[in-house]
Amino acid sequence: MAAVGTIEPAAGEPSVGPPSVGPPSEGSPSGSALQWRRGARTWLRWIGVVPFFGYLAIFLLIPTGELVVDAFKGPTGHFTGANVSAAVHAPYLSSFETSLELSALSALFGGILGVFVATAVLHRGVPAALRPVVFTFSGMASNFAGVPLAFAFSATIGTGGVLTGLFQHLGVDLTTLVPLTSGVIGLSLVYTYFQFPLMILLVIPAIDGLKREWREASTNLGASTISYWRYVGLPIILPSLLGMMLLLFGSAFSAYATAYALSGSTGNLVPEVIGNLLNGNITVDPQLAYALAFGMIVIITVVLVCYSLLQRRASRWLR
Amino acid sequence: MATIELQELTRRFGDVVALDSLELEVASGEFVSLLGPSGCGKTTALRIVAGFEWPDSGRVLVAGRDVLDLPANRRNMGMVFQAYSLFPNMTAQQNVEFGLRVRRRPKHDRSKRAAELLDLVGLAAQKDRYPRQLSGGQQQRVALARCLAIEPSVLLLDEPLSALDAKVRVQLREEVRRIQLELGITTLYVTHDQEEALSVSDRVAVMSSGRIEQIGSPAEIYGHPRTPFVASFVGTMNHLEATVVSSAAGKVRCGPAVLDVGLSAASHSDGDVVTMYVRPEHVHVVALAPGQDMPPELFEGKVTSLTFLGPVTRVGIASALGGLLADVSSSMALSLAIDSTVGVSIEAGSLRSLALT
Repeated sequence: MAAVGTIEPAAGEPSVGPPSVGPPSEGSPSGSALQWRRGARTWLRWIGVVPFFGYLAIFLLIPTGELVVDAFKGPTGHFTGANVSAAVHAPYLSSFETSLELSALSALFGGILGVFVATAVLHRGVPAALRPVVFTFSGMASNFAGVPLAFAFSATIGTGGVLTGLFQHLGVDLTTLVPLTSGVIGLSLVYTYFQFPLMILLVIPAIDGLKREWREASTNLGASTISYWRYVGLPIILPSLLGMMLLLFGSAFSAYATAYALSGSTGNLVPEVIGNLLNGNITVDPQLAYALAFGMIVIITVVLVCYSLLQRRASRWLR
Repeated sequence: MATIELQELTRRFGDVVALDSLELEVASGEFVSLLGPSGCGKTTALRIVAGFEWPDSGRVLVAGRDVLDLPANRRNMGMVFQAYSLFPNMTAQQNVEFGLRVRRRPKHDRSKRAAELLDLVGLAAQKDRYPRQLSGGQQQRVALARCLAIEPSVLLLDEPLSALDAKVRVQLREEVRRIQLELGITTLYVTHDQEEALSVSDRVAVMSSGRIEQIGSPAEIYGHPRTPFVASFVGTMNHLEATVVSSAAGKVRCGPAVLDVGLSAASHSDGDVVTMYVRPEHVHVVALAPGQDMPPELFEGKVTSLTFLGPVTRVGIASALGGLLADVSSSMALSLAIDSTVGVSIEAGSLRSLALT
């Protein structure tokens, strides 16, 4: 039924109004034009993210897919589970154990130190001028890895390092206490150098998300600083902290250049073993390298899923 | 219950004087509101009492004891904050229990006390809900129950209703007052909302620039403001310029009219220019029939605006006395129109002079 004051076109007659834009369609032409325009606008909005998804597809999804398929192929191209089976058995299983241990330790060291520094910097009593200094350092130091970092540590606490020399005068052998080229303790110390600034950058929003009123309310109710952190602060930010530490874990787990620069071809981390299998330092076996990489992908996927779950839980308290 | 005394309290933030030798005494079981505009120092005063700020000088006595040397967590004061401050990782019951938990009270006692208080604020059924599952009004009720759980010596409320919508605000302020009277707890309440302060307080302290301009009962503050600031800040006030024609007889000239205002002869001299104040509800408006002569006891005025406020309508009037606002019943306002001529009178004794100009 036509509304009062409007003229409804007779059947078969074109409607009166501005010309429609877009392809002709059945039904009301102006309605379909509107729909077409809405659709076009929706697609236009997505154009901005096309480069991102393109990048993701070319440099992540396609190579990952190819790597996973190759992990299950033998030298002649036939499908086999032998590579993956070999990757999770000795001697390669130990490289996973070393990598996991190093990643966990450096995430723990970096995480605790990062939280400590971030909390100290954000404390009300600390001059605000210190914040940009710490943030700038963190931004720089979190990217200071690879050969420069390895050199810095070698020059400081390596065999011919400055501190090693000084400690030698005191009768202390630093290279035994903190062996940089063997064992996970020394390497995790090196990794902590870029892990803790990364933790500072990651954890600041979570600590900043703790409302001043929560702290004051708990104090007003008689809580000490320890009680506040035990019952309020820590439970609220714990999911965030664990999530950030998982990111540090992932960052350490996939790091290659620093460890390689320190230990050369003798390292036993998964990325180093993959490098050796591809370069032919000991033996050439790209299929086994793909299988090891597949194992890394599985671990990183688990880490990301856990991170995502923790972030959801964290946002529940901090929103 | 405890008394609160603020003595010579001064606090500066750089060049800004937040509190300027503030003096205040709150009797045991009394409900006193600090009322003032933003930046007048009312929240600073409250936070000093709570222990979250420190004065540059002065003393804060609670039950006769100076508490400035006590850390905030040892002052045993209950505080409700402006922003929602419930711990998001705890249910309503756990929030209420928190103060007792850190005091290491047995679980059974904590639960019993929390249940009593949640019942007092009408939220017994919501005890297992998390703050995000409660409305703003419910959250502030839980916050009130939480600070009452520790049986505080005084209750401090820092604009606890300002984030709530108008209807909930009215309900909750009445509830706060009911609970305060029931428990007889000494309460210091900070607000910028004059209606809130006037409706719930035993006394209201109107603050400006770090000082108390006037302190008194709500009726005193509203009906007998002692300074131009209080007169302007609390409620709506008409300001009329006048000249003293006879200080002895208490008469002033305002426009063509000579008004008997009962001026104090001691504080005014003939010829002084004074500002007279009168509330809109004391200005009476009479609608005139077409062709009706102006009665001699009325001044002529012309309606310039009509603002509907519910039960009353605020009428803007241009008159020989100056611009006036009058509150008339909304049913009476139906007979008024913009630009219509009306008769205006001012209630005897309602014109006040507060300061020489």
